[in-house]
Amino acid sequence: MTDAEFEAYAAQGARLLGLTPDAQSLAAIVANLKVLNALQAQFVDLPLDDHLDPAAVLRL
Amino acid sequence: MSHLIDQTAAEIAADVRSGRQTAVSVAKCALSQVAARDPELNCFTGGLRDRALEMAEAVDETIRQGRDPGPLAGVPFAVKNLFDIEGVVTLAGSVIEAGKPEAAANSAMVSRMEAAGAVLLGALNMDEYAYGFTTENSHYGATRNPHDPARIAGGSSGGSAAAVAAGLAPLSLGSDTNGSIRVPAALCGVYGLKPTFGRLSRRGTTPFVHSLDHVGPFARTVRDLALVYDALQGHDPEDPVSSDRPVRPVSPDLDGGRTSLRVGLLGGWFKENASPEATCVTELVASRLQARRAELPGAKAARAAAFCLTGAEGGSLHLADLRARPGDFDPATRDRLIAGALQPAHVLAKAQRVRRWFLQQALDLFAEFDILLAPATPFPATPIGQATTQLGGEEVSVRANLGIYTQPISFIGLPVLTAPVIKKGALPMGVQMIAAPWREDLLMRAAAWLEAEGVVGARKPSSLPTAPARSQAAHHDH
Repeated sequence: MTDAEFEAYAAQGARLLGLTPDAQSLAAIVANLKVLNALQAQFVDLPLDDHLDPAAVLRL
Repeated sequence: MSHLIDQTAAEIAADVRSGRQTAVSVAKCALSQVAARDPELNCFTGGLRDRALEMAEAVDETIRQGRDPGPLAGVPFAVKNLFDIEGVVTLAGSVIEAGKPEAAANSAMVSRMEAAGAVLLGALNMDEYAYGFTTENSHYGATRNPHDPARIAGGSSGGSAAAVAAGLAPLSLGSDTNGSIRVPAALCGVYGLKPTFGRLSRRGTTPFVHSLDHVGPFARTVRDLALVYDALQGHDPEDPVSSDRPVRPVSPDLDGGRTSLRVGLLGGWFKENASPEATCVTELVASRLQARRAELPGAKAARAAAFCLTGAEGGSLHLADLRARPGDFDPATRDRLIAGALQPAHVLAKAQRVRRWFLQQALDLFAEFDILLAPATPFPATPIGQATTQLGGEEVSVRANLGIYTQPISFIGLPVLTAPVIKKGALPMGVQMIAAPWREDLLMRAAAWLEAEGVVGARKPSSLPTAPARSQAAHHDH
């Protein structure tokens, strides 16, 4: 995603959630989204058994 | 009594039970030390002097009547300010919560501590809503590390760790979602226990991430850690994740030694990015426990998934306040929560599936090992206000990296004991000792052996007076 795409995603997403961040807050949200996006890339494509429970709260 | 740090919780309880000192005299000593030292350290956000003296008097009266005052008779303790205390507003490190009503009842853990005879001194500082690893709280100030007040205490249970390290209380309680007991315990040089997910009740605590939140104790000796953990155990039907497994006391296991323990030193993710200090203390403990190399596949992915899930659950929990009172959050907390709430749904479903997969990887490894070792933090306490540090030749964020070794483990709910490793002249560092679910007994056993050998132990901060002979721990600097 480009910087502009992150900014658009953050602004539209915030509106959808009923949030009204100012410009400084929006910039920080974008920075955090970039961190999260990089972390997501570390696991979203991990090949896993389709039967693993996606709603699992720990059962030990 | 000269200084509270000169006595363990076990010694205080024994003295009070036998009448060698009263609970009231212990409470007064503790309160005077808090008054003298806390203005500098900022561990406490609220003291409970009258309540403490009333509770102590009740303990003494119980003894006068010939009844059992409990295993923690007269032992002072304090709790992270996300535990409900009847009649006190539960701050959870925020100003938003400060305007809410006082708690109508004690949290389960406060109730159990008081039922065991312990005396509550007050509530302790933390990161706002537990979302942080430094306890640099923008509303209530930073908690200072007793070993170097210019440095952070770690977080989010920074007040809990620092209060115990400074001897303001022999015991405290904190919470751990991604490392918030283990990180400050390591940086302040005390013991911290994050028990198995579901072992200790979270009833009456302010949640952060429901599916990751744990509560647990801090102490300066393994025996005290076992004593308080045993007092806290027990099923609670009012916490939906509380296990109904039988209570499993660990105090009887402390003298079991290390014989027959199969110990593994985690490599891969748990070795990468470690500072020389972190590597040194972990390998020291590993060598004494004759650890073999062990690999836990998927730790990097698990840490990433835990990070993302934390933002999403935390963001969802606070959405109403993020809409209505955005200006009352620490901006750094607010903007991370909002970003977390904006993540795509498929990411979170995948994160939960990664969790199940990674748990299985760990359970498979416990077929070969009883205890796994890893650093608690990648580096020691940094100066307060310092945003970045050097790690592996790169400038990295302190806040984002202090939990890189703790996050994968709490993600799958395993019990972890963080032990302070003794290293002369160095800032405190800790090692994580990790066991299979419900095997806190093995952790206590290994930690007790290491403590007896002088490998791990809580050091007294150099600014405090020398201890009298009776309570000097048998620790030897390396």
